[in-house]
Amino acid sequence: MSALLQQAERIKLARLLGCEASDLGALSQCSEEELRLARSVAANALFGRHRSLFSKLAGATRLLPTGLSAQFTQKFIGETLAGRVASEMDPKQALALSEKLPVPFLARVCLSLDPGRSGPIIRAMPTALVVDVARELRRNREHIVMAQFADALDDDVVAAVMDAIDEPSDLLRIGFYIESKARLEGIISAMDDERLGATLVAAQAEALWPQALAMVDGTSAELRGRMADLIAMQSDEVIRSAFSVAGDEGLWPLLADAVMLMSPESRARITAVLEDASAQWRDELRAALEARGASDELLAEVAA
Amino acid sequence: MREETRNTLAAASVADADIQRLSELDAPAADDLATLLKAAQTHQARELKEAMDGMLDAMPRLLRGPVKKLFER
Repeated sequence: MSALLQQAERIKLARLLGCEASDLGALSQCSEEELRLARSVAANALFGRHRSLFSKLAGATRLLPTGLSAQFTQKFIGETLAGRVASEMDPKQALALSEKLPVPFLARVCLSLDPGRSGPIIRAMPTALVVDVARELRRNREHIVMAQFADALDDDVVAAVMDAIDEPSDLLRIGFYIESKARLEGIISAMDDERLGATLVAAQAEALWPQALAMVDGTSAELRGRMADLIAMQSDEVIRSAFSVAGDEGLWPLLADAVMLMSPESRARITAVLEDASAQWRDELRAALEARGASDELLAEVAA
Repeated sequence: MREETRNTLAAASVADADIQRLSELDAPAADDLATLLKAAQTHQARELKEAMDGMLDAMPRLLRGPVKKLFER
């Protein structure tokens, strides 16, 4: 697993703990798996506290008619507490209540849902409502929460949400935080070449190459190969920006992986762009290819 | 994991099973997690108290008593 996935985990842990990733101290040296373990333990402790209190409040709202309960929730409970209370509701009750609440309010409620307990509630929501809430979360740039949703929802609902997101850079920002590689594989595979290509242009335009490369890291060779071929189909400027970021952020192993998986035609295109580029990039790519056990033939292609 | 870290985690409502799981982390990382978790809980408690106070303040006086009682039970 790459340093990029580790970075995604650092950011998620820091967000849960209410600090910056740079404040994690010795935790920042932990592996991706260790960081995920730390996040799971921290979430249990943070959301476990006061659970009985929220459970009581969930019980109290059950006694009211749904419409009145929705008014009570908005007027008195507020979104921070509502997220914690909703996590203690049974999915049926939460669904009935959510249908009476405005979408912006629901989107703010999502920020304080207990990630460990809210899966059944999220899955109980109708697709149209999930899409509306996702649009609102996107507007609020809550990409981590959207990724949590993507991990919890069923395939067809995730597909509907992804269809509703028309900004390619948002897909990169969300994809960076999605934990389930199987889910990510499904999302990216469902995108046509035009849409996936647009994410690469966005990677260049918005400095999101690390997110783009991290998104496919750990997915199947077939998908990585497709992405690699799409990189080669981009303009010289976009390809060069990928090399530039690889140099700045130490992402050569991921680019070497792409070069190894792409078609001979794509490789020829990359080699042509490299010919006009810095000799240092060629050397670094060659070194990364060697480290990954590339054949002599392939190394000669890149060096040519 | 140091004994002091274990105690801090237990005081922060980390379950025994979760403390066991954290033995996979090296001591400095576990220390930092315990410190950050404690700070996060303090912040969370303050935030929840403010939200609860706000909720009770916003309620009609008639409802405040029963809701307070519900939480105290």
